[in-house]
Order: sequence, then C-alpha cells, then structure tokens
Amino acid sequence: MKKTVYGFIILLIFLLPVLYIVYEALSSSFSLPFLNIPCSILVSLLSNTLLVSIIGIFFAFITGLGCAVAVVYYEFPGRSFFEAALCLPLAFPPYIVAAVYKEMTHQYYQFGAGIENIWGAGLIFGFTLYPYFYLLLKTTFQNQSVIYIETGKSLGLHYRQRLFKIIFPMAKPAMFLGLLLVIMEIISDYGTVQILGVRTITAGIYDTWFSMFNQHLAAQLSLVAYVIPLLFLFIWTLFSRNASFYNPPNRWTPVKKNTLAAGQAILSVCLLSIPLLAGFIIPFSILVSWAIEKLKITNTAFLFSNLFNTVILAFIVTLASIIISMFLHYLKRNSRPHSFIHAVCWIICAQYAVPGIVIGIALLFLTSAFYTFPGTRWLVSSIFLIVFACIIRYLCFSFFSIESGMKRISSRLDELTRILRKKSIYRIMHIHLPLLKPSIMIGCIFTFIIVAKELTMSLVLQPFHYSSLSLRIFSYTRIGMIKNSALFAIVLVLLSIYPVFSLSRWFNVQESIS
Amino acid sequence: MLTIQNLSRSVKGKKILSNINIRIKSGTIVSLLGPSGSGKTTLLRIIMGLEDVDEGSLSFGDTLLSKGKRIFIPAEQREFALVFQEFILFPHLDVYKNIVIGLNHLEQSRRRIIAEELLELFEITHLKYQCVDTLSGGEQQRVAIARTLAVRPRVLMLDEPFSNIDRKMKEYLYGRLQDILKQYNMTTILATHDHAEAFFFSDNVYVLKDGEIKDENPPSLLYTQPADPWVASFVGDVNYISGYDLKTLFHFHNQALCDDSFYLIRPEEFLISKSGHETNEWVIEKIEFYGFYRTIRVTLQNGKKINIKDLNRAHYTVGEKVFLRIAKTGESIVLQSAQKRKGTDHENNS
Repeated sequence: MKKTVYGFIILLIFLLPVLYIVYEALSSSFSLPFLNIPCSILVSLLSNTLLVSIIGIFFAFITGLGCAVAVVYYEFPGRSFFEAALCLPLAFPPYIVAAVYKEMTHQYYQFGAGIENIWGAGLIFGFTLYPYFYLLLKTTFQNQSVIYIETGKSLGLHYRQRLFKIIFPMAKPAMFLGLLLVIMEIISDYGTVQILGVRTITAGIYDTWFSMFNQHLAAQLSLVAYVIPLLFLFIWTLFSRNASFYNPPNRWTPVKKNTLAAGQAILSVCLLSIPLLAGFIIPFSILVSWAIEKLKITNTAFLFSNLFNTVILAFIVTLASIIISMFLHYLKRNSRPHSFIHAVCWIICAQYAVPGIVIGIALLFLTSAFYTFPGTRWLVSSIFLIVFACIIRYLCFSFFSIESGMKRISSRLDELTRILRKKSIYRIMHIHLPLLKPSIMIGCIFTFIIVAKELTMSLVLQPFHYSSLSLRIFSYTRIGMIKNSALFAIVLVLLSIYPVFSLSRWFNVQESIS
Repeated sequence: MLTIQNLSRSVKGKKILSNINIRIKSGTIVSLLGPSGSGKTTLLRIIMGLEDVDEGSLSFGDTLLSKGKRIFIPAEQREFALVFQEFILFPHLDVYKNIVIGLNHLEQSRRRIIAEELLELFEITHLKYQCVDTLSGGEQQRVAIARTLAVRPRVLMLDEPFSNIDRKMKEYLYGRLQDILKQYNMTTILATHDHAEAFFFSDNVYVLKDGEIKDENPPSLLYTQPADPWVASFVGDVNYISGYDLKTLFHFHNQALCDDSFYLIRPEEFLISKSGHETNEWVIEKIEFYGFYRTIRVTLQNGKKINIKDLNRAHYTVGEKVFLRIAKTGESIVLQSAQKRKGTDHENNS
C-alpha cells in the first residue's frame, strides 16, 4: 500500500507537464481539438519533421550498422582505434555541427548548394546521431554468441544469408531502440533545425509560444509532437508482443574476426573514416581554428561561468536522477510483474518520448499559472525548472542503467540477507550498492553527457542572466557569430569526450561480462 | 566414407586432439565416447569445418576437405550438419521457420512438404507456429534435430544431444531418433559421455581420452573386450580382483591367471545368495536401490570388498551374511589384467 502511494505521487509529479499540455490543448474555445491549427501549417510542420526524421534515421542507421559490422566481424589495421573513435560524434551536439557546416558552406559556397534544407538537416542528424545505432548494434553483435552463426553455417547458410536471416533479425530490438532514440532526438531538437532554417514541429511549437503567444496552439502542437514517438513505441510493442529475439546459450563464445585482405582493409578504413571525419574531426578542427582566430576577443570570464553553470546543472540532474531511480527500483523490486509500480516505472521512463520543448512549454504554463502566488518567484529566477524538466525527460537513462545492474542481482541474495537476519539498509549498503556501482556509474555518465549538451529545455526555461555553454553557443550561432563561440563549443565537446570514452569502454566490459 | 588421418590440434600449447585416425562408412552411426574435455566436441567442430587443425587431413569420399591449417571446403559448403548441445534454435523464428531456414534453395511448396514430414516424424506438428522460447527441452531438441535433417546432410553430427533433457523424454527420443536415422540411412556421428547412449545408437564406438582414441569397436565388443582398464571402467562398472583371490575365493582357474596381477570383473557377473557351498561368508556393507536392480557392496573379514549388481528380488539387509560366486566360467568375464589403481570412480577393490 505504501509503495502504491509513493508510486502514485511520483507518477503525478512526472506526468504533470503532459497532463497540463493535454488539458490546455483540449480546453481551447472550440470543442474539437486541433481545429485551431491551420491545416496547411500542421501538414507542413509534420511533413518536414517526418522527412528530416526519415533522412536522419536512414543515414544514422546505415552508418551505425556498417560501422558496427566492420568493427565486430572484421580485423584490419586500426580496428581498435575506430572501435573507440566512432563514438566521438556523440560528444558533439548536432546544433554545433550544423552551425559549423553552415558557416563553412557560406564561406566556400562553390562546394555545394548549402545545407540549409531538409537534406542538410537530415545529414547532420545522421552524422551526429549514428553512434546511438553504432553502440547498441556493436554491443548486440558482440553479445550474440558465435554459436548462432556456426549453426547457420552448419545449415549451409552463406555469409549474406547468415547476416540477413540470423544476425540482423536477432538485433531488431537494438535497431528499434536506436531508431526510437534517434527519432526522439530529432523531434526534440530545436537548435539544429533553427540554425538550418527547417521548420519542424518543435520549431513550430517554439515560434507559436514565443512569437505568436498562442498557448492553445502551442499546446496542441506539443500534443502532436508527443504522440509521434508514442506511436512508434506502440507499433513496436504490438510488433514484438509475442516475439523473442535473443536467447543466450549457456556457453558464450566471442565472435571470431575475419582478417581482411589489403585492398578490403584500405577500403574499410576509408569508409569508416567518413563518419568520423564528418561527425567529429572536421567540425572539431574547424572549431579549433576559429577558437585560435578569435582567442583574443573571447570572454574567458563568460566561458568559466558558463562551464560552471553547465557542470552544476548536469551534476544536480545526474545526482537527483540516480537517487530517484534507486528509489523507484526499490519500490519495484520484489513487486509482481504487471503491478502498478511496474506501470509507474514504465510511464516515467516513457517521458523521454516527450519532446523537450513540450516539457519546457508545459512547465512555463504551470509557472505562469502559479506566478501570482506568493513565494513562487524563485521557480523562475533559479535553475529549478531546468533541473526539474531534465529529470523528467532524462530519468530513463539512469533508471535503465541501474535496472541492467539490478537484473544481475539475484533475488536469492535478498533472501539470503533475510535468512541472516540483516536489515534492509545493510542489504542496500553492503550488497546492492557495491554490485550496482558500475551500473550507477554508467547511468551518471549517460545523464551527464545528455544534460550538458541539452539546449531546448534550457532555452525555454532559462532564468534571467543565466547561461550555460549550450545556451551561449546557440545565442552566438543564431546571430551568425559561431566563430565567437568556438572555444565554448570546444569546451562543451571536451567535457563530453571523457564520458563518451568511458561509455564505449563500458559497452566493451558488458561484452566481456556476457 | 569420411576419413580422418593423423589429425592433431593444440590450443595454447595444450594438446586437444592427438593423432586421430577415424574411418566412417556411409550410412553407419558411430559414437565418440569420452569424458568431458576429451576432445569430442572439438573433433565434431573440426569435421564440420568450424575449426582448423595443426596437422592431419580430413576427406569425404574422394574430396579433400582440409589438410593441416588449410580448409578446402568451408563449413557451409560441406553439406554436413551439426546439432549443438544447447540446441541453438533461432529465437526470432517460430518452429516452422526454424526448420526451413536451411532450405532457401528450394521452392516454397517443397519446403513446406519437407517441414511437414519432419514435424510429423518428430510428433511436433502441433507446435508448428509456436515461438521456440515456449518449448520444453525435449521439444526444442526435436526441432533442432528436425531442422538439421531438413537439409539432408551427408553427415549428421550430434553433440551430446540428450544431455539437457529429462530421462523419460530421453528414452522416448532414443527410439524415435534411431528409427528416423535408419529411415534416412544417414551417416551419423554422435558425441556423448554416456556409454549406454553410445551403445544404443552406434554401429561402432570410438573412445576418447585426453584427445586420444583409446579404443574402437562395436558396442558389444567394447563392453566385453575393452582395450585397457580405463576403457573397461569408463564403459561400465568393474571390480578389481587379484589372480590369487580369483583362484582361492571363487575357484576360478585359468592357466593365464597370475597371482600378483589384478583382473577386472563386471559387477553383474557375481551371484549372491543366502546359502551356498562356498567357504567364505561375505557381509553386506551397503545396499543401493535403483529400481530394477540393486548394487550391493559385500566385504570379507580381511577387508576385501566387491560390488555386485543384483537383479533378483530376494530380501537382504545390511550386516547380513551372504555367499558369493561368479556366474559364468570362462575367460570372457575377465576383462583385463591390470595394475591396481586407486582413486578412480569406476573401480572397486577386492
């Protein structure tokens, strides 16, 4: 009973923004929802969003899949380097890459027709978001026991048949998770599409709220933006309801890598260099050259204060997310499957599907509604709202990381501590926490990177005189002064590089554990 | 005919297989019998083409499959098939799709006919569209074997196929599989650590220990005339009895018997009775009940012990005095002369 009450309270807090958006969207002066949205605008916003998503997902998927297959199944000079380095674009927020390439194409226009269109936005998303597919597929391929491939060989299946009939179908969950992450990132993105002048649904929500001051329309568009990822999630749930994809055998054997011939090895190195160059090396090098060029006029005081704000925000959100995730797991542990607490956890994690702009707008609605109450002004004058919004949206990262660790702790261990008459606190401190340390660390790293790069919610909810690295970079790039923010961008990327490498290493550790 | 010549394989300096020579005639069923770590699975994987070797050659008929580290025909082109110990069904496919996965070269209608025939043979038609995760161990095993038979391999290899399933299902599958293998007239290699399984299925049994072939014979010969004491004790229980004891305690006379040597006699060769003409009274030390038979450990005052496998239903109690004799006379019961060894699972001292 106590668990249900706690679960209900947490659920209510996490659902507050979405519930408010639904209320606001449906309580417009017209009885039919969406009647307020001009059809042509909605169609244009939706088609742009869909097109950018499809192009972005296509490039991200092809690149991620190709890279994962190359580093897992083949041996060639520099493979270990590429295995680690291909994660690097994850450290780059897409809007910085977009701004760099936009500036470049402006400078050297003869090289192309510019990237300020849907294709350009899709390509930028493809090159910056492919590490989601890459990391997930790489881990899946590495964890797929080689015995499945050998069974395929034993049944006379050739290389291509083994790929398309065994290896890829068994990696469908990883593919879908990657697709979901990428689509959520694209739908939620505001900076990239704004810089490239593509009007997606997020840009529509932002403009409706801040330029047209139309709350109802913004809420209705937010609802549409919320429904798109949920629709994907729903389709996947339907599709995978009775399917099973991975059944680990008792004996796990690592994948044997085929050594490539010289020509094939050179071709592989060239192909693998493309995403690395496009997603990291080129934009980073350009940023470095711009930073050197503008070093004298860069305000280092701003740089340090913005860095401090970014780190503090990421730290607070990470800490709070880990604590809340742990609490949720202790509510969930030992409760029956399909119980209320399980549903609560699922709904809370599904908040990642809510685009950042939706949460931001909802919190703005709420605070504007309560603004007249005494003692509530601190809500808008502090980073509380950004922290709250980030926790709501990004809690799933820490939750799922801890869950992967929790699953490895047998319930027999809990029973053993009871038999030994130890208290719950002893169980948590001396058994669970030491075993969960790696999972907690990975949750921290994931949350830290995501929050440090976060822009959309910060943009909507930033208090006066507050700026973080991402806000500073965006404010410069918006007015075409990306070069002046180059050093800020480099610092933000460097801030994420170490965690990204740790993440990559952790994925390898998972492989060896399996 | 599958021919393996002088095959050796080592991993990190440790010999896994050493000088293996095997010839398997088409249509026969042979077993690789040996304890865990004896190299059975490695040998199957080498025959399948999943692992290379240091030395030796492997050929099928006139075709050289591999020689030394060079593999001439890769696994997927050998038309051999291996059923792994863990079944390894593809979890993303249902039973039917698992069975037809290797039949891509055939038309849809032909695939369906083959699958339905096998589903019927293995009595799993009702599971046709079921997710493989929901199947029991026995059902999974049947699907795995049906899937392998569907591709009609020239050589079928089964790696400990019954180790993960319960006894009753195992007995059912023994009969079913033997009938099907005979019907398909398929060259089959079975790797197992269970001598009863090997005896039941095989025309010929190869006994492996530490990567070497210790013995090779049809099952009945292997049981009665094993090559050495280790093989004798691996394929059944044995008692070690000295030549002197055989003469004095059991009046077993043979010119070849040497007083100081030890001889191996199976427990079922002894007969136990409550009365007899024998001079020595044995005392029952322990009785173990196994359903249709019992093992009874008897001891003499001087500490000599013998294990007996008793199929009679006479009532005995621990501490009771009994008489013992050897059921048959003749050399066949004396398996081997050997130096007395200590500490192995399959031996008992007399």
